[in-house]
Amino acid sequence: MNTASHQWPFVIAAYGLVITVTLMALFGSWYQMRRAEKRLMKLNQAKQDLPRKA
Amino acid sequence: MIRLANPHFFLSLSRKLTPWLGLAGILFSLAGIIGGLFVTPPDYLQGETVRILYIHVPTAWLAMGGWSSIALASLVQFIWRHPLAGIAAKAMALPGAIFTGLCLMTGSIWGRPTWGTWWEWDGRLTSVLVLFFLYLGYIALSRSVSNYSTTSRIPAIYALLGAVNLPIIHYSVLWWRTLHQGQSISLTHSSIDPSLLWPLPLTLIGFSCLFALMTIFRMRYLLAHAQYEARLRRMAAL
Repeated sequence: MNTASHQWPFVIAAYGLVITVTLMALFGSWYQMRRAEKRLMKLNQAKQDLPRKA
Repeated sequence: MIRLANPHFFLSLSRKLTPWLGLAGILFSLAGIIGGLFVTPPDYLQGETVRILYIHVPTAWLAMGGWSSIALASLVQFIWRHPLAGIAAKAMALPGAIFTGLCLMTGSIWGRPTWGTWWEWDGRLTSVLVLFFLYLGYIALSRSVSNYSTTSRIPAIYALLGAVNLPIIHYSVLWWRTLHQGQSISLTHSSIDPSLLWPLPLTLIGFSCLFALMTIFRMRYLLAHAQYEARLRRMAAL
């Protein structure tokens, strides 16, 4: 029953799952960070552009 | 240590570390995965499924290591009340939960052809499932505590209490009759043949670097988010 041809699909499924989820999590956290830092930079810029009180 | 806890120093250090951690993470993981898939021989008993070990063990190591680090950061936050420790703990929760989920799923995929079942309610599997739920609880709790607050001690207490599960996971194979095999690798000894063992340290280092990178990204996100919220509040008050 447990011949190599029966076992390879399980191996490929496990590797595929780990590689896909890890890359997605890595990219997701990088994108979330980049978006938050850009938003903060824009706010800082907007604050600098505000007319100062006399 | 005190210097590292300064957010400005942390940000400059993390920007320098990011490319190196990314490069090391990808190279070590790739070398371990290629070695584990194509170079090592099949095991005489488990056959080809032994290859799942090279990704299952690092995910299990990061699942437990992740919670240990959350508990340690929570302890630092609890004693010294340093907000960066709280942010570090929160940042590690999501990667920790992801790797715990991957550990459970790869174990299940390995179990089907080896044990003949996807799941068994035994000590090791159940205690890791409990760890997964602890992670989900921590994420929910830290989000519910007002707006990414870095001063709340409730998630820190939860993390310290949850650390009780770590020795239960570790000793579960000794305390209860279990399908899961006992400890095969220690610091001084390994019962796995070196011809099968060598890709494992590579994937362990590679996945640990990727975990650290994810944590740094999430810490920077949480810091930027907290600063954004604080500035908005200050601007609204003017």
